[in-house]
Amino acid sequence: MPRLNRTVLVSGGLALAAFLAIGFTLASPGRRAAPAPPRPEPVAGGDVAASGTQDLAPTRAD
Amino acid sequence: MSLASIEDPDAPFGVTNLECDRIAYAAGRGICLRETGGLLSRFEAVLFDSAFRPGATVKLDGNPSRTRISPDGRFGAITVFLTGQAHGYASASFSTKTTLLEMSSGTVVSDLEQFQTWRDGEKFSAADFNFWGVTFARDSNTLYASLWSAKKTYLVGGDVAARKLTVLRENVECPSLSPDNRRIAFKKRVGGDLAPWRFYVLDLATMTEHPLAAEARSIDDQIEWFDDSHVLYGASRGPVDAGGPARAFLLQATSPIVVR
Repeated sequence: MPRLNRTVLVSGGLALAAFLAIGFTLASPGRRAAPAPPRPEPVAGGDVAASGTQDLAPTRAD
Repeated sequence: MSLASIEDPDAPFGVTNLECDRIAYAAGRGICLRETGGLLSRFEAVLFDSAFRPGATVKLDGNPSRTRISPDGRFGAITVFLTGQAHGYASASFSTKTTLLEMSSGTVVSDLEQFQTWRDGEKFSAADFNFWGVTFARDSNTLYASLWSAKKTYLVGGDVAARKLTVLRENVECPSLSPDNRRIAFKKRVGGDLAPWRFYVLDLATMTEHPLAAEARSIDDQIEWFDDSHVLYGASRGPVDAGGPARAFLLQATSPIVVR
């Protein structure tokens, strides 16, 4: 059984011309230190290409 | 449907056997909305468990649009387009249907149009009511959704047990409640048909709202909160870095749901 905690479920595929974006909603103290992530175990099918997020500069929403 | 690590989206991630257009997941229960094969378009919701095993299937009356599950996994909400899918929520005329499910069985609990709606202390009802975009609070009995009537959209707050909705505010679409239940991210109509929306965030304690500085484009999605200060949403390909501090999180993906 795949480990689901701290994961994101998405609908996707190689032909999908879209991506997920991430943005701040308000000023933030910054990304917290995170524990080593659990690596989800592939269940069926192949890998799907992914890109990583980058650190974001704290920014007010208005 | 695929899954990715929150902390390390670069890591290889799993791919499930479920094919879904829209996804919801909470407390070990999931909803997968999809179109089934065949000559005629048919749509269904497949409920699944934490091992992605399909369970009950619910026939849908139209094209899938939004779905959410209450944080405790008790209720699910599904919005479909009955008409007007081609131009979506930007269309001048469309019809939606939003149903609540008991997630343990897949039983339909109610349609939001069966709830009694109140505005300014008086009953509010019209033949052109359309509800969409449910988001649930932690208590699973409180929900928020969009209501359209007479060319206006409203944020409604709901009490599932009492089958009651109350108009809280105008010009709110696709609300999404933050994990701490303090804020609602939503689409606000600010422009014409070519770029109608801008993401905003509403503070529920003060009922003050602010545009989401990170994203200036008009995007039609129900935001998913990454945590209490970040949001995730699907977007078409294009530079996100030019207009603000938003960054691409994951390629070739839509309908994100954070497993908390």
